[in-house]
Amino acid sequence: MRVKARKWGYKLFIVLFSLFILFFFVLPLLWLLTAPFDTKATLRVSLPSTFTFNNFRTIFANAFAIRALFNSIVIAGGTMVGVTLFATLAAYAVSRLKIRGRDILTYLLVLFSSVVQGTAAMVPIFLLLYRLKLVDTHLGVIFVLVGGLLPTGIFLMRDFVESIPRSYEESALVSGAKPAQVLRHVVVPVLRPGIMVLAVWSFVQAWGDFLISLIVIRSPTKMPAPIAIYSFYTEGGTPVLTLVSAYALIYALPVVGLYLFVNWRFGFRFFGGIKGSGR
Amino acid sequence: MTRQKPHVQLCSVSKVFGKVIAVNDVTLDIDNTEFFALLGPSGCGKTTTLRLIAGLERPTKGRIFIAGRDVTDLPPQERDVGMVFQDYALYPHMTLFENIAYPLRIRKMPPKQIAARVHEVASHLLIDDLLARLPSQVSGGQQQRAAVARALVHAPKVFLFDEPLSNLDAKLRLEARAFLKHLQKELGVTTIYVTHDQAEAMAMADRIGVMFEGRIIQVGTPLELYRFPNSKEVAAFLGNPPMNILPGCFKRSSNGCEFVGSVFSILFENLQFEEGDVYLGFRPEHAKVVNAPSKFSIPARLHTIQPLGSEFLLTLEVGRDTISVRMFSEEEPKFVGKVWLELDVNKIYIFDKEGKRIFP
Repeated sequence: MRVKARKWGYKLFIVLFSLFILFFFVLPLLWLLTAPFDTKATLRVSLPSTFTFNNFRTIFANAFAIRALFNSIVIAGGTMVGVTLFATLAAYAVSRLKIRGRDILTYLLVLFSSVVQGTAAMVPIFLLLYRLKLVDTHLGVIFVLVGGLLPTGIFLMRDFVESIPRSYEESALVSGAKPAQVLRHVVVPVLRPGIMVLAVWSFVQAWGDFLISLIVIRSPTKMPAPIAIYSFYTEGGTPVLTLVSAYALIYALPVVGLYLFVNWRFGFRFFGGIKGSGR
Repeated sequence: MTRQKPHVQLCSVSKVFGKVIAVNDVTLDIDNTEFFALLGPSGCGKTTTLRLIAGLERPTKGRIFIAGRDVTDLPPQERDVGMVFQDYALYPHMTLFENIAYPLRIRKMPPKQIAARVHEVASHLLIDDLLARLPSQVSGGQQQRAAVARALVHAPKVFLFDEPLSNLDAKLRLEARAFLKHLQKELGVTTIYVTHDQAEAMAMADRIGVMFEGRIIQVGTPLELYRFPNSKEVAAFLGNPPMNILPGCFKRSSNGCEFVGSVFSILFENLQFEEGDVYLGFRPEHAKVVNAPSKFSIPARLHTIQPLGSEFLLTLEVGRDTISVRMFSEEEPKFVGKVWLELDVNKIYIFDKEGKRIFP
């Protein structure tokens, strides 16, 4: 009986603790779903006093804010293509060629990647982009983001690549395929779920970037959404909550949509084969 | 049109991985249309040898010829071989049709011809009604047939099989043996077949090359190897169960030669051997278990009796050695405890202390 009671107590604790955590995460989301439709939104979560779409109308009338969303798509899309392409090829190479100390190399790269996008590296990165005449260009932002995301991307992708039996490639080689054909016909299709995870992950990372765009981009017409959201602040620096929340909701939708699309089309499989799980 | 006789030739080929010599100075001649099995325990270098022929590995030393052409420095795609892998390696994102068509697609054959050829091969292998399915939607045996179909669709000069039956269950494996052997004879394509299963090699191959620690230790027809193994390694590898081998030594006596084992001795009359350490070998079917001692008998203890239907497999202990005896009988033999083993002296083998056969 005592054992049973203790078991129940433990379960109760887990449930209550989960609810507590859930509460913290759900609250801001609930606010994001209610505030944009409220004429007088506050920082409290409450059902809209008067339901309205006016906030969205104001935002769609704001050319700067809408252009910023497109800028975000360019930056995130470019980063996604860059990271996915290079991380897949690099992961394939790292996985298939036996290089001495490649594990340490990968871990070091992952470690250093946090430096590339970290605050400490901002001055050298700005100087570098200045010399390359890439300041105030989307390409400059994309380069920095790709550089920062690549190591983690390679690390993530390597597990996917290593879960592919080598005999697939060898059988294609014996069938007469050239190495590039092996990659195109066999490796990439088999890797597709991993590539999708990587693409969504890098898109989301770039979509949410604030610091690098803030530093690299100068002209307002090129700014992405996370910076443009500041245009919904009053001159005194207080946010106009109705507009900020409506813009934030619009800003969040592509990411949610992307997740749903990939999940529906390919099904998410994070980590192709971390050793010991799901093999 | 004169075409050079297609056959495979390995000239003192070696392959070294770091400090490990996987393949050690292997020389082989495989005739046209021959079914050749490479047999050996795991890690003996047989798969590496096959991969060397396929071009998936480059030899450290030696030359490889296929159909009279030196292919040593050619990549796998230019060697014109067909290979079936242990895990079949069917591409999971392609249907069986696409899988089988792949070697033809790479060779840029017109789609109509591809379809015709794939259907021809698939119907031959009895999988033509499964072509629209993905590999994950068919059984292991069907996957294996699809893998064979893919290997032969482009009519390669050589077939390479890397333990293709080891993932099948016992019943399917027996069926697949007969099926592959028949197919090979029908197509007449030179085939090299790697296996660790001696029964498979004996059942299917025209000739067998036994590999041990990177070397080919004997090449011959299945029956040659079975009857005249050159060494105790070959003897202990072939047969089911394999040959019994007991260590001992020879002592000369006035009327012959005496084999002194761990707990017994046998006098061989009219036979003369050098004195010294040797191994005595005999096949499980060439000994009889009896209740009383006789001239050529060895004292033993009965360990287990396994009824196998048509025969009984007896496991006995002779001193510290375990030996097997096959008994063909309708009734279950009634032995308990101490028994005697009667050898057929005309069917014994003697190996010297290096393991080389010295008798018969």
